[in-house]
Amino acid sequence: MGRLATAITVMALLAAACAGEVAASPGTLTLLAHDSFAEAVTEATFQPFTDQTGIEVEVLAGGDAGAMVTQAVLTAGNPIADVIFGIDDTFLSRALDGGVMAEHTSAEIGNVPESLKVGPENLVTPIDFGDVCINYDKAWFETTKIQVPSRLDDLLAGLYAEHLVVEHPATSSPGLAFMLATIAEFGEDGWLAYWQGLKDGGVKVAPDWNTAYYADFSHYGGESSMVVSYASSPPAEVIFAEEPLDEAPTGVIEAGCYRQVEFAGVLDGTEFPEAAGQLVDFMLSVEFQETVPLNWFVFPANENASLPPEFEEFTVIPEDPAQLDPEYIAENREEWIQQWSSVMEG
Amino acid sequence: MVIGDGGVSRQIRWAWVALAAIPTVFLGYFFVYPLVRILILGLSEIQIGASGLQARLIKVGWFTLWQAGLSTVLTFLVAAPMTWAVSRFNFTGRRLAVALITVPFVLPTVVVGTAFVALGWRDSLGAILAAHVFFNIAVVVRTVGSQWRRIDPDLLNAAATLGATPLQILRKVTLPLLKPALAAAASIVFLFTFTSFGVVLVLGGFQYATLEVEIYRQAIVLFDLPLAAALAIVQLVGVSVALMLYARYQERHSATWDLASDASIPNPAGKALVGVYTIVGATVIAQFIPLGTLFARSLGSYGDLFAGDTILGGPLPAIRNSLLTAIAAASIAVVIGLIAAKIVTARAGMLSMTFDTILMLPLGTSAVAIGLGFIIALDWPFDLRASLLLTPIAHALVAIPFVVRVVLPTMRSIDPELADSAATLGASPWKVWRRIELPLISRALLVATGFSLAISLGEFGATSFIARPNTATIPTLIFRFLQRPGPQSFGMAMALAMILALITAGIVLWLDSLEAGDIGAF
Amino acid sequence: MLEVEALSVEIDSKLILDTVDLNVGDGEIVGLLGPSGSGKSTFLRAVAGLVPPTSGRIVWDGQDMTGVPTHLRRFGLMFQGFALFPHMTVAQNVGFGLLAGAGDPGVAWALEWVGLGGFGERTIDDLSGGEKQRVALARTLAPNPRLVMLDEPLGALDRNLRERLVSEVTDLLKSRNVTAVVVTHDRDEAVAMSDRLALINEGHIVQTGTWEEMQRNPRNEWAADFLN
Repeated sequence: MGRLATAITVMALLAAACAGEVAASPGTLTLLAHDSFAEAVTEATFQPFTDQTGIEVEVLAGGDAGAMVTQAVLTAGNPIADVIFGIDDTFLSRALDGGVMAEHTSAEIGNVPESLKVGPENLVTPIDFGDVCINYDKAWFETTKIQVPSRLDDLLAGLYAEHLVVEHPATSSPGLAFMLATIAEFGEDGWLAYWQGLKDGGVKVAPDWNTAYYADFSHYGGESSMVVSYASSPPAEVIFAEEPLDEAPTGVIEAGCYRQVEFAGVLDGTEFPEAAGQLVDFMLSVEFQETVPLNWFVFPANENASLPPEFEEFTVIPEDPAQLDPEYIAENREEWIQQWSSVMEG
Repeated sequence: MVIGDGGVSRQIRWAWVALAAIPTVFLGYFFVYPLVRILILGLSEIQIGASGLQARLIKVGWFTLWQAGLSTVLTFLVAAPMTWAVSRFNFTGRRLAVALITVPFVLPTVVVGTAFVALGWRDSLGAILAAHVFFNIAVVVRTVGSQWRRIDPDLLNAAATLGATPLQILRKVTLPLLKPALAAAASIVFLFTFTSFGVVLVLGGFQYATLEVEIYRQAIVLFDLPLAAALAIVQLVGVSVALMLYARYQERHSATWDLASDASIPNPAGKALVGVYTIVGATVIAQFIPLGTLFARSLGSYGDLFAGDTILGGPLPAIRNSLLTAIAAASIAVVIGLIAAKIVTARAGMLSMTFDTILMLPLGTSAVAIGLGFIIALDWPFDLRASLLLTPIAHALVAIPFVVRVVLPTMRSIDPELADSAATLGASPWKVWRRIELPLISRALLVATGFSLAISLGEFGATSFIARPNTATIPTLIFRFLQRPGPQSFGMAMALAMILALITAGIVLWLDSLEAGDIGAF
Repeated sequence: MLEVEALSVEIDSKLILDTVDLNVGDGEIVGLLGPSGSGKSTFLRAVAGLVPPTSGRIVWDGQDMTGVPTHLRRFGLMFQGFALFPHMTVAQNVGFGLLAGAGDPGVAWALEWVGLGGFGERTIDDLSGGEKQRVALARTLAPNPRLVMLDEPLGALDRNLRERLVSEVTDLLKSRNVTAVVVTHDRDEAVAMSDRLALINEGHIVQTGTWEEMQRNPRNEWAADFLN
């Protein structure tokens, strides 16, 4: 009997030890970010920050943007990290309503254009923006001599819809952004009819961006010559090309783009609010901002940061992308997704 | 020794109350209270009659129902030949075959899902159904088989001499005698597939979702907690109705026939021998194709896995988390389950009856509902939602009914006179417990501990709600690898699934070596 | 001295003992005799504190023991089925009630005393019926209880063994001047083992006295019947 009792005691002690092991050393800050940010983080990413402050940065991958914000909300007040990065405008309300953010106004906020400041400046700081746009496979359109569509409405005509792959808005961030673009374009009364038209035309739905882009897009051997992707995808094609290219193999359709802004902020309840604020400021500094395009294929929020040549040359920043009020998105997002699902899956 | 006016007696009574308070408070706060919060939140949503709810309900509810029905039918069809072979014949390797067929049943659902992804069957209805059959064949073989074995061949011979054809014998003698076992197996398979979570989440893509998966999506992906709660209520009602129907059926058809305890089952010869080995061999081999594929395809990925992933890191923190969680969960489950079983067996009338019922409740509740309840309810009176003990507690809730089911029969089998005689020899209730009862149930306790460890290691439903990126367990890390594109991530998912399968198999083998009896029949 | 005053016990709202009075003097052995189902065993259990009385008192040397928990009464009870602990050796069983642990000289002495010296390390399964009975007796007596109660002490044994053990057990009890209640349904056994008899039927004490007194003066027809 003594053995079992001992075993249980040891187990309990181990469990207690496990529970007591949380104290973070003040020398390290934890940054909760979505997977696509965490993916491109290297030793060098936060080295300048460590050099300046002596504080190390550890990145905690929290899934996609939605899952990451959910994690933050569920641990509000007792956060699993000190700083959060990658809340986009579609999830901003979830984070703000969940009370996860602590007050911090970045010293660099003056260098951010007004159009990006869609959230309260004292809680969330814009770090980057990106435009979700339809990309097309230049080679396919050249071979078939078919005209590249220039408006969302064009997609309802002819065989265009059959050659478009979109992502499911419930499981994919660009999918959601493109759905919002159609709502911005056609209004609450017209957007579902538009989707019905796309469906009747044979549009393809993929669960996530990776599947859509790398499996279904004709540039990668799929059957769809148009894919919902980012305005920064064409320069990425050039940068990652195995042989140097003079021209991007894919192009961006400038109509029907949706602008996503990504924010960072200090998590409420952090032990080190001051250091956390410093990290947010660092992420908006020109030094860090200039690394943003080539690492994450988004555009810096700080106007003083200069763009790498590929971004100047191979893409466009759409002049008048769609943007919806975060409050408005938050109120209707679930219902829109349900409506979208019943049209597309029904 | 001078004794006052029964002061000690009162002390003992208070000790009982205090003891009963431990599981009561635990189950009350971590189980009943979250369910109540789900009810409140979900019912308000149902009252509003939100349009999203109706659409989701019709789609998801209907799918949940028919896929469970279809999975059950398919499981029976696939399991029937094997069940017949192992029930009606004695042959070398019979026991081994039954043991092998049980392996998939004890595997964590995430591992089963990953094995079918390894076969290349992702995102399809076929994959879900196949995985459900794979997982549940053992239920049919073991539940129906044990009953079928007890039908004396002479009973069937008698029918034959009376002029019945083999088909008539099957219809008029065998099936009626097997009816209770068939009903039991069918209800269990239906319940398991109706509440299927890990398998469907991994294999269903975004177009197939059971209620459980939809609850998870609404809560964690879309963060629509009221809708998730409403769906959870539908789920709970569905499971309760199924359980009640089954209980009523059992009540009405509880006639027990005097069957042979070990009927003289013949050895197969000639054609029958070939047939039996073909059936058993084919079924066992088919069962091991997914696992074999998983093993083979995982081989190249262990290096990647332990080298660590750029985003998710190496597997060691998750393995450590899983082991610590399992140990903590097993400790909690065994302590609470033991106290509860003690109270149930004590001669305390009302209290013991109530406990008996309450303890079994988590069995009928899905792990997903427990996870959802935690994130909805445990922000009061303190915000415990970020507590590291949350996952072990959720696992303990899932394991407690199993602990009680293992420990209770042994405790009940102890002659109460042993305790009485110890008391007359001067042993206090505490000493009676320590010196007499605890040693006599120590083996059952070990089995319960092993069960709890295995349950915790494979638990995915509740964990997917409450494990955080920094507290991932093996199953949640496998799922995150699976969610990410690319062959490298998938390879690491397979390697980690293989590791989890081995750990689980190790525990189950250890349990088997304790001669715990028919643990496979849960 | 044990005084049981107007003891009543109800189990599942059935009256098992109805205002039973019984005294047992120091060093006296009282035989409680009655047919099966008369309430004998329940009486012992109530005195031991294993069954709560509905009313009445159990008094030892003027001290009310009614509310005292079993383990503090120091009343030994030898169970009909012996209730030997299956996971312990003979010595561990006998030593259970002693304050000291195994290897206590009291254990060896108690085993010698019932004629089982050297049996200490055996397991319970290895014992014959008679040996079990003697281990149970040794275990009951080892902690030196104030009162010894024996429930059908020889009931489970075959006739030859019983006849031999009746005198053996009686001599043992007498040699230690034990205060005891012996329950049995066997008249001869009761007469052989006890100083005084108490007749019990359907929860009532019908008559108390010595065998001779009862023979001479049976209280009623049932008593006369039962004693013959």
